Amino acid sequence: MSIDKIHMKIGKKRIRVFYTSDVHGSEVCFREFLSAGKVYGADIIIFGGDLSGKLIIPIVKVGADHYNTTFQGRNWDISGSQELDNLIKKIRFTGLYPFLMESSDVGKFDSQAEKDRLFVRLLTESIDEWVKLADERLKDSDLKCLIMPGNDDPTEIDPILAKGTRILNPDRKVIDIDGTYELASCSYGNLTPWQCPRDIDEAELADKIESICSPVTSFESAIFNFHVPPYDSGLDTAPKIAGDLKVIAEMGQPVMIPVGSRAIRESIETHQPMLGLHGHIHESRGTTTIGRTLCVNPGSEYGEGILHGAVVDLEGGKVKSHVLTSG
Amino acid sequence: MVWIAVSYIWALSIFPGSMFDVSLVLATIFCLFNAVLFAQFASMMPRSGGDYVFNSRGMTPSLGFMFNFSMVVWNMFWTAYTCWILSTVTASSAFTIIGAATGSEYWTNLGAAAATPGTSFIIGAIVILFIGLITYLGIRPFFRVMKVAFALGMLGIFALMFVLATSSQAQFVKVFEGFVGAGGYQNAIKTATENGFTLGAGNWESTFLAISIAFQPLGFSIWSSYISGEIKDAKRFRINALAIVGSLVVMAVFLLIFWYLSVAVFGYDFMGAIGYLYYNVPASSPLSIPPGVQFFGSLLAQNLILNLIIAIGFIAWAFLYAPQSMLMVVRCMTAWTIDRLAPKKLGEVNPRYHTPTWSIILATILSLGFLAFFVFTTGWFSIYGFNAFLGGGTLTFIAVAISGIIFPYRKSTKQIFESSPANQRLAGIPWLTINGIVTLLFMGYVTYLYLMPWSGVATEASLGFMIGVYVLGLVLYLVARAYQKRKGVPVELIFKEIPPE
Repeated sequence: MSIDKIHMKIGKKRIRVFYTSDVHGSEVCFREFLSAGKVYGADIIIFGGDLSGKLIIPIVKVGADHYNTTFQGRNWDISGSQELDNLIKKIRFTGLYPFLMESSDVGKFDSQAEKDRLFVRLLTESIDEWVKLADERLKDSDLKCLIMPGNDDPTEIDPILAKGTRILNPDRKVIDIDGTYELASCSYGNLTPWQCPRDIDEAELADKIESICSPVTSFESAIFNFHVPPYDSGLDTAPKIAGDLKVIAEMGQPVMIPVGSRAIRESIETHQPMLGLHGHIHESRGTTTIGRTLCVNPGSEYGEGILHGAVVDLEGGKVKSHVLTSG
Repeated sequence: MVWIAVSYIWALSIFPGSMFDVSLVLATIFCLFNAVLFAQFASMMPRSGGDYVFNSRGMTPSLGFMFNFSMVVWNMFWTAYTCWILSTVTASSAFTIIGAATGSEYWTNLGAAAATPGTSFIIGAIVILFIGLITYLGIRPFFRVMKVAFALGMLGIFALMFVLATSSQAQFVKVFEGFVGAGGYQNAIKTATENGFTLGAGNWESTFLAISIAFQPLGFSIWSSYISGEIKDAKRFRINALAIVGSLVVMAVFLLIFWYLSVAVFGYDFMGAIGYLYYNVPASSPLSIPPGVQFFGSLLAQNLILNLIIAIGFIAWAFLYAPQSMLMVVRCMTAWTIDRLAPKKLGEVNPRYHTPTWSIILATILSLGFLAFFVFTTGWFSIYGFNAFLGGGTLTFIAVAISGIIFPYRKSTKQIFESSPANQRLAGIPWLTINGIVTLLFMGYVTYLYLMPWSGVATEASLGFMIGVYVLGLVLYLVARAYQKRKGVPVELIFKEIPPE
């Protein structure tokens, strides 16, 4: 696999990077991401994976201007276009995909294949809108915007991201920033209980990472933008999941275990880049160091419309400072 | 549940004539609003840290830190206090009863020694060190200890319930007088009356004042929101509400059952009188150890095995409460380090057990310090002095209540509320706001009660200490921000809100 190396010019002594990930369909978080450059004074904004939402919320038209759905564990019986718009907004806010349907269409989506097709359709439509939104919002700006998919994102979104004129998908590429920093990116992750589109086994992931890293000339000032955090780093602590995908709890508390990637940990231990940017595990917000590498996982509260991120200042080939933000 | 041992006697001796069952019911009803408020916040912002998370966003980061700092300090205090109570009340009465049941002087002397400063410090310190150790060893051993403690604690509670339910007041008078001497039961009531104690129930003023005591076992069911925030679930609010509200209701039911059993078996006037004598006229008290329901129940049991089950059960409750306080403290410290408000060292996780070593060490040392403070100083922490902690606690609850009132209306937080499962309204008014208003009024009332002369908070020194903790929290916040800023860390961005355009 040949890895592209792309040159990016910022031309500043101190470069401010804003990193976030895992908005999972939350429109408000994506909009906040696009605003983050201005609010935090960043030169580059990086989205580290998992744009896709997780569920469809069907809204059934049950009368002339009357609708019904179940959302957030309660039944919504609404009338009129204003109430419908508000509900759709609420659903989108939390990262879910509202789907308006006639009551006669309810049975059409009983099969898993139909559901999957509908999900990909709604997802790609949403990403398409987001790409257009990003192009529009960033058209007069010098801000560099990198948007990478994550293990949850189907490969169908890659061509949509490629259509963006003001965004760049850094996945499986190395971006040379001002000839000082090299950003290597990987959207793939180790296997999860959910069998996500970009889940691969550790051996394959290790090969992919090595291949991605091959154009990097100096790891001393390199940045790994790998969606999955390194194994057992404290940035990858998640609830233990049983075979039926339910959280295993003891005394009412979930049993927490490390679920990150061993291949990514090995790669960080071997190459010792300057910085590791990770997401994937929403509940494991924090920073840690592995050898000389500062690793960051800002966590995610996309469902609450809160954009967690990391602001990292780079200067002289080093990380000058970093903070986790909660925008 | 350990409150069953002491709260009735405290209530009746401090507020003679109070109908404590009414106080308990009123406190439960009002604490429900606070419990639901915390459950709503935990469902809107599922992150460990409790009030720190809620107030940092609901009000301002500085106030969020200040109130949480106070909560953390008082929880270390609480860890120490629980261990002190373990020694001076539960262990001392258990040893005394075993001594009486077996005729062993050794156990009787040990019972008396457990209530003395030296021994209670040693016992308390051993327990604090043990709690520090299990917190360090990770969440699984921690919850294993909690599981065992819970099982033993419940066994003790049911054993005590069985003893009280199958005993009469005549039986109690007989065993009590067998322990303190003939006529001891009536003498206690008579001596207390001669020394100013008022007999009889039915005083409404005392009933409302006794809410301050009823609040103590009921007000802190919100603990789970401090440690289990990060797991997302569509039905999160229901889970949170079930955990927080459920534990409050279960606690209230047990307190009421034991109240009615205690009044029936020990006698209303006796419970107030014996507490009054022990705490106010110790020279005339027939008991050398603090009177408690589990102590009297154990006297009644007349069976070594039942005595041991009750004793171990009540000791086990300390191993449930104190570790929870310690874990809450450690989680909050970790949350501070993520926001660069505490030294990085406090957030460093040891590779083997995945626990923040330095936070645990600091919390353990400070808890030991508070224990020493309790044990070796006088005047400060008389039996009611610990209400300074509750004063500290209620002020934090007031802050959360204010956050709850304004959260649905603030521009920066409105959307979080509206998209959350907590978005429920009554006549168009968000329940979050309603819960906030009721909590504000209730916690304001409880705070007022703690600031009354009887509580100990109102002494110049303890009031100064309580205010000092808040001031220190604010100063630490400002110092941390200034220090990070000087290092070039853009701390002003940590809580900067992004307008969703």
